Amino acid sequence: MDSSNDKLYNLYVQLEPVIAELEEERKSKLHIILLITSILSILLIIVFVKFLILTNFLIVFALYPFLTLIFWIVFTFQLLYFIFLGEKYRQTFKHNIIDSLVSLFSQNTSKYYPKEFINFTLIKDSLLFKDLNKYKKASLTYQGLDCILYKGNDLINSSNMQCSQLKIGDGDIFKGLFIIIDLLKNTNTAFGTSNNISNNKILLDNAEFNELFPVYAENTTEAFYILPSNLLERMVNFVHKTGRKFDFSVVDDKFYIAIPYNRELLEPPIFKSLFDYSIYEEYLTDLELAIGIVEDLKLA
Amino acid sequence: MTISLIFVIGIIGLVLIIWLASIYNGLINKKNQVENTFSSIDVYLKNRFDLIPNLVSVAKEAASRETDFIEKAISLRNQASNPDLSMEDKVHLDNEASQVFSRFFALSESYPQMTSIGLFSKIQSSLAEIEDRISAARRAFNSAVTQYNNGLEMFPSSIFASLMNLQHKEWFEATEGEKQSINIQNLFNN
Repeated sequence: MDSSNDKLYNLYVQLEPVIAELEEERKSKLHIILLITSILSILLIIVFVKFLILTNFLIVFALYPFLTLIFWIVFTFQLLYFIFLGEKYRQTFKHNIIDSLVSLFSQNTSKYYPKEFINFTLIKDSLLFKDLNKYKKASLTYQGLDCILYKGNDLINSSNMQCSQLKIGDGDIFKGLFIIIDLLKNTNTAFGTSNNISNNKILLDNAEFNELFPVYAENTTEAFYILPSNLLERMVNFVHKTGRKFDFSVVDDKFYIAIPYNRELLEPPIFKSLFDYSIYEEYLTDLELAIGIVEDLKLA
Repeated sequence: MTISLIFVIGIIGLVLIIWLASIYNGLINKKNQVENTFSSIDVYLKNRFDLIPNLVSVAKEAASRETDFIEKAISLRNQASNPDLSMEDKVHLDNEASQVFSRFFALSESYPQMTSIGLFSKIQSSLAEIEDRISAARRAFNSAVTQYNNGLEMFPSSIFASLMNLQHKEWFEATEGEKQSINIQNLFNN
């Protein structure tokens, strides 16, 4: 057992009273939710069967009400979840459990800010995502918005990194970790892995990097300046280590990184017991990914 | 039959022309890329040569006994201001400039009063950034040269290259002092 797992276990033991309280809340509320959903579902099924009898069991007529029935059951569950468990449960969980995990992971360098927002303009300015104009600002979904901002220390300013779980356009454009790092100088240039930025594909001086990351830039020399050989190597090593390819861009004074991630990160479980130790191991892995990338790339 | 044959030959001819044009354009593109990246190096080399008068001024003020060094620096600045220098000449002068700047900072150990002159720290910080930029521009140039030279050697573009009388280009090698990797953290941190 390595030291981070030791620490995690100690934290788990330490947090047991909080976990027990939250688990009690989860279980009792979940029972109410399931009970109400079941009653409503039974009522809906009765209505549905009545309808089937009226239409002499013709499946063509039954298909539409059947889909409607499924929709209402899911909708009812979601509604009840937000009414009974929802934000309060989620926020208590995040403030108590995730915050402690972040502190455990890197005591002096990071702080957890649940519900922080990434400005939509920054998402657009990253030039990493296509067709953003077809989404109205209000219709963009920022699901599971979690920010980990680095606290100021000798190396980093408190404002120079935002790490957020981001979902754009129901996930069909992007779902995953989105990291924004402030550069101290305005590079007055734009380059990155999206051909949104430029049609001019450039080749950097690392063959493996060129295979993993297509880089588009108007100004080749600037791209070489901001991506020195050792950073190219670290990006390649990160992909090898995590098995995750990612997109990046540098636009003016910002460095953007977008790592696709299908699972929602750092969200509290609904159907799983909070005493399940594997949940916390998963959180630790997620945090290692979020915080670790900047350390791995030695950007800070 | 004849019309069909002419049509087929016409199509083949058209495809052939498009193919040959793409090879030709590819070579021209690579050649232009080499020239563009070299022009970036040229700009930064000029910036570095522009620091020499400041360097001479500091040396004259704090290390006036080092006449050889001062004369060499002035002579280098004069050579660099010649507008008709070839690419090879510029590479040669760049190597000499590196030696002059190394010597300048070595002198500051023998003449510590140099470091107290305001211009010294200005030269130091400007030079650090310019050298980082030269290093990046050199990498971009070498990468462009590699692609260009590959185009000259690979079939079938090699045939075109010999018809166009394109010559191999040399890499811009860094001097030992310049080979130290640049520190990207300057961009990220205070």
